Amino acid sequence: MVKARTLLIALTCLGATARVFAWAYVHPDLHPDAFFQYWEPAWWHLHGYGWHSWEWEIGLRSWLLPAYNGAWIAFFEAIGIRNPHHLFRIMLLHWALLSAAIVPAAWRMGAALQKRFGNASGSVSVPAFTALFAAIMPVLIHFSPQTIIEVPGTLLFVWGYCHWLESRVRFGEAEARSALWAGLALSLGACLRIPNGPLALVPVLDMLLRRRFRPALACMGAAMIPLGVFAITDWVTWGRPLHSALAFVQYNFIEGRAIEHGISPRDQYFDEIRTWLGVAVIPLAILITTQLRRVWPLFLPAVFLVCLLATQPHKESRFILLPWALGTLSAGGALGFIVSALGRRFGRESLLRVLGLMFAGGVTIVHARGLTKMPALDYSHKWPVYEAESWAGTQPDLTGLLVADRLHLSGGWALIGKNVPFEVLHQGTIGNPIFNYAIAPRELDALCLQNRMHVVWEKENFRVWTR
Amino acid sequence: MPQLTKVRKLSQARSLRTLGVAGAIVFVTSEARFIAAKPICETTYPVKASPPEGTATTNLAYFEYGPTLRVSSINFFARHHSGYLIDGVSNSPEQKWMTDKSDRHPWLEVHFRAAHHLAAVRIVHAGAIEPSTYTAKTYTITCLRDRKTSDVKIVIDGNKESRPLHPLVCERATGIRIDFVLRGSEAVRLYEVEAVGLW
Repeated sequence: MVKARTLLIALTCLGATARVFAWAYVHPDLHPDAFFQYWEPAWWHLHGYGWHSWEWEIGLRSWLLPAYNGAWIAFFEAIGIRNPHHLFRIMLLHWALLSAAIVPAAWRMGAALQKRFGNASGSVSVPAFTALFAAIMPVLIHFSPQTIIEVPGTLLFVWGYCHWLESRVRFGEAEARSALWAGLALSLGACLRIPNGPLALVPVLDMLLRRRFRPALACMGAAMIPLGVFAITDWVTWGRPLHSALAFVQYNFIEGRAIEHGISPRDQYFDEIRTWLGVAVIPLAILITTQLRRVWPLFLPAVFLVCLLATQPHKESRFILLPWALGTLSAGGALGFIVSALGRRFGRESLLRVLGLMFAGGVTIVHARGLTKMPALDYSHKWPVYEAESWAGTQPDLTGLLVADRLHLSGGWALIGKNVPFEVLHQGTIGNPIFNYAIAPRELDALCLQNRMHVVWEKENFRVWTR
Repeated sequence: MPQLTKVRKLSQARSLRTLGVAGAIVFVTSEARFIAAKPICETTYPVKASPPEGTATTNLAYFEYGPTLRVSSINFFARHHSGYLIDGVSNSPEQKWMTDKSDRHPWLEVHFRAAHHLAAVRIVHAGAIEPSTYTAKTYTITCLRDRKTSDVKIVIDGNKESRPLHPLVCERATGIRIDFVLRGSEAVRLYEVEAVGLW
């Protein structure tokens, strides 16, 4: 028992370390929404300035997540951390560390699956491999240090599914309690990330089909609490209960206006999965197929959601983070079941565990290499721009800042930390004397030189110019 | 020995609970600070220059002289920042100040670094470049002074000029304030505000 607990702690630490490493050295690409959906609004509310993206004009987003981020900004500013870049980096670290909470959930899911579908040999292979995959799978690490809604959304769904699976192997009070926690987590997760919503219905359907009415009632009753909180928040902030959810559904699914943000190929998600997993996709597919009877509660919902989201014309890699997580956990669980079954049959489970570890390591390496083949929406080269914005914000003589490229592809006012004019760099803006700093790639050197500017900061392909 | 382990576990649980409660209190306090925040839209510009020697009158509000600019709101969606009010440029339709649509009582204040003699206030309304309906018709200009001296006000009603110069003679002026009355229009749009006076 102690050994299992030690192993769980070690795996959680491994997951957290991998995520901190990604935060510190890899700098995963940050989607513009990482700034403008939930960070900049929090900054604007707290400081009185910040860009309002279109979602915040029509009330398409709930204020709950900005309020969460904003509370942390308020706290860190109260203890003297006021540099906007430091604040943002701290928040990224916070999400990276918090996302490591997927590891204990994965362990408990593995244990529940083992109890339901495996034997009672006391082997920890299933929970251990499920947790191991959750800890080291590169795609989960890549998306962890981000202020996007998919991070808390995925985490809540994984914990919700964990409680659902545990409710399937419990009885009486314990079963109802697990169902209650599942309802809370899934409802909160679905309110945060509405397109994941259909997966919140799976546990309830399962409970009803198995005629487990009391836990189903507990699950649905608990789900009303986050829903109520969301409804009230929207009522207070947007003037209508559940306004942001209704506006989201209307905009994306009824009016189909998501296409205004780009139309993607129908097979983008499948193509991405194939490219990112590389050759590892074959053994993983075999692994899951052979153990589908055991890992279906994780794998089938993942496939269903990918197929559902593939019907939408506008696609982004991060939209399928939850299916990635559930798919990863089902692969880990399947490997654990195979190691456990072969160990029982042929003995030498320790050797098989080592082989399993080697397999997991191989998948990680192949997958990490595949992940470098980013899709068209790649913002990974933007880090120097974010740093340049923060640097310019610390200059006492700053009166206005220009940045090359579209403004929403930068870090916004929340990285500058000063309420000054901030615009796109072009011939029409550079002549205005209030803009005394400009961030530009080397290709725009001539434009800045023509306007009598000189370089004061540079990193990689980007330079900061001043008059 | 088992007794000792039990005591240790109990103590661990108590420490964790205390830590959790302390964390929750800190978070709730910070959340309350976030919710209660009512920041003022304000910018203090650094002093970068002073008017050329021998100038008769100058624009006291110009950003290079280091004023503090306060406004009731900014339309951040369209990025029509208040800084454009005092940038000395009034020919670009993008570079104007526009208030937020939810702001029903728009105002602006320019505070100078020191007290000066104010002679007039020039406003470049959006109607100078855009449709004339964008020109504000009703507003009050106040010359701000220190607390011992009363403010001087002029009320403009029915303005039709897109670049009006409003005489407002005022000694020891520390700044100006303009309060707008929205009549039919959804927002205030201005290209420039100049406080014409002696340095």
